[in-house]
This record gives sequence, C-alpha cells and structure tokens, in this order.
Amino acid sequence: MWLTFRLAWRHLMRSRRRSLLTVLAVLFPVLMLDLMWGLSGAMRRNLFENITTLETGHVQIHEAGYCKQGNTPSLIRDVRPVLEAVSRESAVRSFGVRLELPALAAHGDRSQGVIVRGVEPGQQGLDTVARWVREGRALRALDHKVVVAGAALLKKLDLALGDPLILITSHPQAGTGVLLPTVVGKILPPSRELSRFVVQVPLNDARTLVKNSQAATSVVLLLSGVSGVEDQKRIDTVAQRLQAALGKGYDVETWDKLSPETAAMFNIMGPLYAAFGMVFFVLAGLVVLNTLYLSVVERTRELGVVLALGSSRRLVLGWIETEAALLAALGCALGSALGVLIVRWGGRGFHLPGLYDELLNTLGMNATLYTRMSLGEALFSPVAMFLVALVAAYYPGWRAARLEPVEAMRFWG
Amino acid sequence: MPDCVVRCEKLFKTYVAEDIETPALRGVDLTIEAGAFAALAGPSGSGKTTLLQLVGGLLSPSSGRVWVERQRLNDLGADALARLRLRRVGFVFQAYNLIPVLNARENAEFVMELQGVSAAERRQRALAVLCSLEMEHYAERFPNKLSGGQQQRVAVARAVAANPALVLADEPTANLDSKNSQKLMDLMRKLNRERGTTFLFASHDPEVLEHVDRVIGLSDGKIASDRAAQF
Repeated sequence: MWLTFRLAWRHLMRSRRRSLLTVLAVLFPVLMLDLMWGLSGAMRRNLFENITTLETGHVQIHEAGYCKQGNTPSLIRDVRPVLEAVSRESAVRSFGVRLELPALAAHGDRSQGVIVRGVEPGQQGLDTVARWVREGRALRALDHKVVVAGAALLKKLDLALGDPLILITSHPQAGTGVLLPTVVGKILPPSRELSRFVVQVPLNDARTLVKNSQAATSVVLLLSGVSGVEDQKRIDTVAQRLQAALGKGYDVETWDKLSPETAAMFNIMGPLYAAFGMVFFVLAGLVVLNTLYLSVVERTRELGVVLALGSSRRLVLGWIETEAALLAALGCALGSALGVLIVRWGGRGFHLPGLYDELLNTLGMNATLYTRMSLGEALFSPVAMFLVALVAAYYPGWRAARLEPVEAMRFWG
Repeated sequence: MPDCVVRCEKLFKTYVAEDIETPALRGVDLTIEAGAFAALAGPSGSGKTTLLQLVGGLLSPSSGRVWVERQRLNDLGADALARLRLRRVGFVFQAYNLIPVLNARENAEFVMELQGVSAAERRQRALAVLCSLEMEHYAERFPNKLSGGQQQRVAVARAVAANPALVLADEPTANLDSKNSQKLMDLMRKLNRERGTTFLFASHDPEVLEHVDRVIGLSDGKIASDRAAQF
C-alpha cells in the first residue's frame, strides 16, 4: 500500500506539469457544478420568494372543499376563528386575508372576465404587486372604491388612470354584487395571468360584494425561519399543527400543493444539474484516462521491469489507480474548496451585471442574488468526480497490469 | 537433484511473428548446480537471452521442460511464476532498468518490499549489499545522478539483496567500460563466494567469460560446448 502510494506520488511529482493540468481538468467541473448549484440555489430562493409572497404564501387556509364549485373558491363566512388559531401559532411571521371572486370587468362597451382579489394593503411580506406598479400607485390602507389592474387588462378595456371600472361579481354562496372603483394603479407583472385577469381591490370593498364583513376565501401565511424549499419540513409541520387546531372544517394547504408546477420544477432542478454535471465529469474522466494512458505508454519499460522482478499485477493496477486517486483527490478538494468559498461569498448577496439585473427586475424577481448550496450538493460534485476518475483510470491500469514483462522491457518509448 | 538449481530438458523455443517462425532454441539440455558462477556464451542470436528468460520464467518454452530448484516452471501460471521470480530469482538486466523514482537504496530494497520484508530489515540488508558493492555513499542518490557502472551495481544489489537462490544476469557489462566491467564481475564473484548465490550470465563479453567457472557455448539455439573456464 505504502509502496504503491510512494511510487504513484513520486511519479506524479516527476511529471509535474502534466499532473497539474490533470488536477485542473478535475478541479474545473467540480468548481463549475458548485457554482451552478450556488446560482441555482439563488434562483430557487428567488422563485420561491416570488411565488410564496405573491401567490401562495407558505401555507393557505381555506374552507374545506375549497374549489368544489368549479373554479369558484368557497367562502369562509366568518374568518375570525381562523385568525385566532393563526395568531396562536408561534411559527407564523405574517398573514393576510384574501377574498377572491370571479367577476365581469366592464368599461364602455368592452368587458373581460376577471378575478377580483380583495386584499389588505400593506400586508407584511405578502403584498408584492407594489414593485410592479408602472403608473399611479399601489393600494393603501383605508383606500375605498379603488382598483389596481394589470396593463394588459387596462389596454383591453381601454382604461386609463382615474377612469371608473364596473365590477360585477357572482358567487354561488353570496349572489351577485356590483362595485364601481376608480383605477389608481397600473401594474406590469411578469405573469400574463396576473396582468390580464386579476384586479386588486381593498378587502373591505370586496366584502361589500358578498355582503359579509367577515368573509374571506383564504388566509395566507408566511412562516418564520423559512427561506426556501429546503425548509419544506418546517412548512409541513406547521401546516399539520394548524390543520389539527382548526379541524375538519378547513383545508390547510402548503405552497407546493397550491403551485404544483413550481414544486415540480424545483424537484427536477437538482437531478437536472447533477446530470449536466455528469457530462463535465465524464469529460474530465476522459482527460484522466488519456493522461494515465499516455503515462503508462511512456513507462512501459519501467512497468515491465517491475513485473519481471515479480510484482503482482494487482500492485501495478493499484499503482495506476493510486495515481488517479491522488490527482482526483487534489482536484476535487481544490475545486470543492474554491466552489464552497465562492458560493459562501455569493451568499452575502450580489448583483449580476447590467442586463441580467434588469431582466430579473422585469421578471419580478429580486435583483440581489444569494447563492446557496446544500451539504448534499457540496458533497455530490467531488465524490462523483472522484469516482469517475477512478473508473477512468481502470483501463490504463488494466493495460499496465496485463503487460508481458519481456515485451515491455524491449519497449523504447 | 539436491544441488541442482536449474535444469532444462529438450528445451525448444520458436518465436512466431506474422506467420514467420524463428527458432531460438533447438533442444537444450542443461543443468546448473547450486553455487555455480556460470555463463551462457555465444554470438548475437545464438539463444543466450532466450534461455535466460525461459529459466527466469519470463517466457514459456514451445516444448521441453524447465525446473528452478524443485519447481517445474511449465506447470506454473503467470501469477505463480511472478511469485517464483519474486522469492527465488534475481535479475540483472543489460540496461540497468532501475526504477527512476526510487533512490539507490530504495531500488535495492524494492524486491524485499514486494516480498513484505520489514522496513528496518530491508534497509539493513540493502545497505549491507550496497556497502559490499562499494555504493554506500550513493545510497540516497536517484538513478539519474549515478554513472552507468554505479547504476549497474545498484541493479546487482537489487538482485542479490533479497537472497535469491539464483541470479540471472543478461549482458551485465554491456554498457560498462573494461575497468568497471572487471570491478562489477569481481563484486559479483565476491557475493557468489560469500553468500553461495548461484549466478548465470548471458554474455559474449570476454571480461565476463574470464571470471566465470563454467562457460556454456550456444550456437544456433543449441549447446555447442560446455566447459570449465580456463585460468
């Protein structure tokens, strides 16, 4: 063991330049994958923050059988017991009450089917449309009979700021209602659906449409200590606790159930990056194979002597594998250390240059990126690369071990 | 055969390359006694090296039988032959063939290290042999810092330090000048007398042939003469 290590180490030191290049070939994909994990972590965090603060929250509470009546969410007629239960849950950071109703929006001779979303302006962390206001303003506390709508809808209905809009709602549990708000804000959200089909009004105005001052369709919660999908366990635990506290009359649902497409996208990202990384690893493995194969060819005579002196073929194979292990260990350790350092540095927050910044803003995402990488991700790249290098070294090792001593000693490479 | 280290019976070896057969040995019968200091002599192509490699288990005969001590080599597979070479046979090659990443002492220890001899013992044995070959001052030097004669002495040290029954040396003086050749042969003779190690050379160098006790002349793959050396 010590002999193979010594032979391998000294041989690598003898061909320093080649060894260094091979170490770099191993280091590069490990570093690249770590950076990809880090950036992917930042993007996931951004997307998660976006979807949860804008749409789903971490957890939502609805009347049991929330969407049984087609696309019309059922009403919670009195939201106060829910709010009491929520206020008793220490993990809740902030919450908001929403009342969503299907409606017909009309102006002049034009009309469009929309969702009226009644919200409490200034809900901490939940009301994020303010960042997309392009003209006018977002909703404010104590607003009355005002509406904020997407640019696409305003264009379709030929509306401008200050124009009146007619909203006619119809709900199977509350009958019809009419509201005549004034347009105070034009938003340009990244989601086409939001821009065309959702209008925001103050919660109290929405409640007049169902003639119930305690009505809601959902209570949306943000939890403390949750910053990404990696905190899913905590979200599930709190949801289970709330479900137990509220009983069967309510459905407590987590964000991944409310936006399964986003959750599925997150789930597929990890394996996708791992597969992508494996392509890099295989390429680096080929470099290792090529380097060691060349090195075996150059040392044919030396290997022949070792075999002639009575060395076992296993020792020769072990020698070549040890060289691969040393190169891979060094490359993986350096690549991994560098990757972790950069990801940690990026974890303090950074901006991508120029256009990327604007692009993220346009998509409604936070322009400050916070790279992050899980322990599993940090371990995956060096371990996978190391194993690939060992597998790649097997062929040159096997060739070296199968040399015929007499033939090999005749070789003048 | 209590005192017989090597025995060959009706040994034939034919090389085949691209359907062309080249006979190298044509029915060699040979016995080498323990403690012998003998040489296979003959011109290039006479079969000296082939015979040495057959005796060392580096080649398989086309027909005929070879024994080293009591082991019949024909019965052994590649791994068993490697073990036999490791335990019982020492090699000195024409072109030194030291391992370039090991220094002189480590080269001398190499076979013992493969045998699993403890570090302290192999160090002591390697240094003792290097000392008897007058190489003690060069023990920590790497092969590229040694002259041809010094490298060949390290190669001899590697061959004998593990106490093999038989040392096979193929043209050991081919790359040495006359003075160094003589010195090396004197040193090997000393080891032969002190340790009783059997030496079998393949050489056409008069310097070697002058030093040995027995010269086996080969010609066209056959033993043409076998005589005690004349002093």
